Amino acid sequence: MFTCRQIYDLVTEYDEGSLETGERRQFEQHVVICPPCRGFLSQMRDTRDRLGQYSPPEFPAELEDSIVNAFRTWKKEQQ
Amino acid sequence: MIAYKFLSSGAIGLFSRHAWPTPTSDAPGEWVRVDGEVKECLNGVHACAKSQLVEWLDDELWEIELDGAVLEADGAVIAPAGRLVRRLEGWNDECARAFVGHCVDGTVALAAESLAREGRATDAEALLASRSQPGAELKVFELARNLEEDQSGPVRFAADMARLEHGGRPELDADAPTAEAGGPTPAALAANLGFVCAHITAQLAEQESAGAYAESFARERVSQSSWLAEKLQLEPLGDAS
Repeated sequence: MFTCRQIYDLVTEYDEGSLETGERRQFEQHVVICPPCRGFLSQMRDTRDRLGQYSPPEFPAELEDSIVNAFRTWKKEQQ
Repeated sequence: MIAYKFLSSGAIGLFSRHAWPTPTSDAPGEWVRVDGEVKECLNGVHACAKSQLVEWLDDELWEIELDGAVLEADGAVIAPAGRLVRRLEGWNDECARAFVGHCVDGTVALAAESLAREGRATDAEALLASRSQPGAELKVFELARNLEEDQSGPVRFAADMARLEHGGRPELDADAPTAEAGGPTPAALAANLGFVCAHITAQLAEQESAGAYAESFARERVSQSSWLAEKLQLEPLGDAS
């Protein structure tokens, strides 16, 4: 069975349906018996639902590029 | 085929978040059908047999009628269609707490037996007594601290269990919030404690006989489901035995 840490890491893939059957089973078996992970799954879904209702403003393409580049640079530095 | 289905409060699927159509006073709920091939954990109406009840504990328990070819999977039965027939009102917060008490009592007794077999009768008696005294959790914790060097660990498991029983976490000092404040519901605690107690039981079995864990764990889970089915007076229905 998965650990809480694995549930944390896999929650997005679970909701996107990209986990294999065995992994989905393990994910669900853990969530049923783990109250904090139940809460975590519920919170993640609530957050996603709310963000889905949000319409972001349009950014100029240059600004978007600079933000993406800054993120990529930051991510490289973290590795 | 008649089977059983646990749902979160309001007849909502824990994983699917599907709002199930509920029965009226004179008719079952509407059929829920899925398109495409039935696949475990991916597509299909998921329910369980009596022997699988404790694998899926949640706030509400419903009797569900399944239609079409039923796939029997590890821990679940899955069909292309299903409808809720009636809610089993016997599964409620009180019953969830009774289930927890049943599991914890049985596990504490096993842990005490283990201590007694090691020649630690006094510790065994203290552990058993801690269950029936006020502040049982603190007494079990105190006992666990006193036995910090205990390699076998059944008392330490029991200390974890005592904290979990009240919604806390073994690794945290803070009390758990109530269900009203976003903490676990009695059903979620029951799901948690049932698993933990089966784990402790299997650990104790493993201590007695190497390699006994898996069989002991599975047997304990079936035993818990049997206790619950009897408590709820579930009738043998269709193939859902």
